[in-house]
Amino acid sequence: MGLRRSFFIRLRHCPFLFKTVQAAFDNLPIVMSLSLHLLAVFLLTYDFSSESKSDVVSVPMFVVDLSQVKVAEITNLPPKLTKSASQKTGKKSVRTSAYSKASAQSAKPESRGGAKSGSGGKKQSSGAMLENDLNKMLKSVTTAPKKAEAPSDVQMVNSVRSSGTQSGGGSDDPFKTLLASVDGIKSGMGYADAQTEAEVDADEIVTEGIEGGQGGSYMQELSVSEKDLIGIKLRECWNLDAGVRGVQNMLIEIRVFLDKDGTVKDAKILNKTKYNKDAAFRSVAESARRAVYICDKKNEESPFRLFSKNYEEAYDTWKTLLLRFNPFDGGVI
Amino acid sequence: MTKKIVFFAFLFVLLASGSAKAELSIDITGARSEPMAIGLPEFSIGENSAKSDAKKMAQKIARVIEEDLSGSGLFRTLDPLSYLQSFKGIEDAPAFVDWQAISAEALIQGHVDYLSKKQIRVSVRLWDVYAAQEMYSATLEIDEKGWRRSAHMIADAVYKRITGEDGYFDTRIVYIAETGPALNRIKRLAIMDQDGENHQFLTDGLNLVLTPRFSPNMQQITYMSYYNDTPRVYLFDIETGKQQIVGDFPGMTFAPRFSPDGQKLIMSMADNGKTDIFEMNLNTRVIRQLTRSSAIDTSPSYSPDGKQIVFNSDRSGAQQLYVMDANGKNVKRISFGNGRYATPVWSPRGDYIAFTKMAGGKFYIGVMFPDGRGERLVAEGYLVEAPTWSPNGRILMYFRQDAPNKKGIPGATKIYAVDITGYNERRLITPVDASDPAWSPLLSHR
Repeated sequence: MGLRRSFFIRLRHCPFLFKTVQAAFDNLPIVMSLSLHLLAVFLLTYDFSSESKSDVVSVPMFVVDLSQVKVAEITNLPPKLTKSASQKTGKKSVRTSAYSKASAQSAKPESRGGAKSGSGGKKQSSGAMLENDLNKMLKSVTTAPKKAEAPSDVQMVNSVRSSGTQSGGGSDDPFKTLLASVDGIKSGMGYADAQTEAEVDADEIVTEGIEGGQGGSYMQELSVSEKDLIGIKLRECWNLDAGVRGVQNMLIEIRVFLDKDGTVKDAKILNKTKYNKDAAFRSVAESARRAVYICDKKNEESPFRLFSKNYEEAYDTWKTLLLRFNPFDGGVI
Repeated sequence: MTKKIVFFAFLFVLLASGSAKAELSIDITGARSEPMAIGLPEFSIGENSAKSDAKKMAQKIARVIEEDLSGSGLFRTLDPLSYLQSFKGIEDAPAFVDWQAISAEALIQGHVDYLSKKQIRVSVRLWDVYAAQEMYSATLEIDEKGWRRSAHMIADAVYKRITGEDGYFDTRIVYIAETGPALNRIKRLAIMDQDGENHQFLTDGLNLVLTPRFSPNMQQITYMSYYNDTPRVYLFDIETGKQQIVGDFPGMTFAPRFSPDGQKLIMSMADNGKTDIFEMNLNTRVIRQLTRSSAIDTSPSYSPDGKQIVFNSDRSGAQQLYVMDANGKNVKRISFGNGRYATPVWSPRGDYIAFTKMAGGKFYIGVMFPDGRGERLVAEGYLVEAPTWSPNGRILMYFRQDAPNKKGIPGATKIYAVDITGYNERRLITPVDASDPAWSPLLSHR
């Protein structure tokens, strides 16, 4: 009761709050009932699936407010793709749909059959080189088909995407379905042609997201296969003593802090209590942290560079990552 | 009132957490498993030390550390020619980039100093090269003669810090040294360091000696010996060299083993055609019978907590493994595979039971969980038998005998060790044929 009294004494400075809180305490059953109703409504309406840490779910759901979506004058493409394409095609028509390019940007090496588009942005001079490196990295790990020439590259991805949209009925990605239809509308209006024929200097291209809605984040395009790729690269960096006691039941979580260029600023082992108490856990956790640094020291081959190369604009989304090392699910290689 | 506040706090936290943004997470499943690359540059020496002596000593200590770590199969030292940095003192900071450049994952920096003519000081620092952090450091002051043990202790400390488990380098092996023709084999008790150094014979070979086992306190060895053609269980004191018979039993006693606290001895005793398991209190010499069956129950071994016993029995018709409580109750069969199972030994860390298996005309050394799941064979041969655990439960040592040659002469017997993962099988070099090894506890834990 002492606590209640002092609480009210402090609230006296604000008569309105004082009265409200006093009324709340006087009608506690009603307040409790109201709170529970609010909680029930929240639980029913909130989408917890987007908060869970499963493989697919960390890609947030697309929520696009159609009434507010409009096509920007200039593309929201990351500059790297456009520059890369423009370097290869000179000052030819490089403008397909902004959305198509954004999609091409994240074309999947395996399932979508596309090749990675290159890097660029402020690193334009080394864009092509980075692109090649990234492609090498991808090829070394995945069974990605041979990379096509740049102009057809984008077209190929487009065609794969649109056919996928038609045949798959947009089964897995409503946003991509939407993009395809917006593409269709634009071509019908002759909009795309007008844009396509315009000669664009790569340096003029700046990035802008789709105005309105939440659909502009590139990280939403981080595909399962890209995540797999990063996982595979990290697995190759992870040297584990397979005979450590209890290793089969361990799960190591490491939070990685990345710089804008994709280098590792810091890697922190979570679950410090277990780390300090359990020497076997500490041993496995340290080997996992070592894997992060070993991969980071591979410079251009570092899996973390994928973010700076492909998702430079979405730095806020990938500046910290949660890596979950599971020693035995995938077996020891 | 407190309850109400807690309720509202809970509500607030729930609402706040609901609105938190998801973090991008990536799963890494599986890993590669290969020896960890270690940089072990030449140890620096103190300025006051006579240079040639100190340098020699530093090299000897570093070599033993290297052999211990490499021999475990979990580490490999990098070629010294590739090293880009050398150290002048223990305070020199490592240039991590240089060590990363040669892919060293860890670095051992050492320093040897002569405090007096016979007294040396050894300092070591262990570094995580990629995390750029010191993992461990220690300084030992020892008599010069103890340099080998100090090197083993340092290797143990490095092993423990990196793997999270005790090492096993500062340990000894007792075994049966065999000489002479097959029909008149002389079997003597012998002891040596785990790396084969400091070898010595403990008995003269007049009496046949079998199944030696260390006591947990390292002072004594128990074994079976035939004296006047009667097998008896004996205790042998390592320091005094004296042996004594453990009681006088009506039948034959064999397969003795100490309890984890060293206070009891568990063994088999054969009488009137049946063999049962007995426990003897070494202080009071009181005997307690633990199994009562018409079958042959033998090879008992305690769990590390002393609460259970694993043994083998042919009560089901063939030799199989059974686990029971330390008082002889709750007997449960745990092996159900093809073939026969024998010589079970409970791992010192408790997670596995090692055994010898005979199936399809071959012998195997294997491990299984104490409930019988997860059977895994780690060695096979014409004859492989008598597994013994390293004190950290990581390595299995056993002996192997080759098939007889064309003239029917039995093959040589040799001691081998293998990691429980089944990798890194190595032979332990002994001066004569060797069988029935037993691994001591860690000497520094004595």
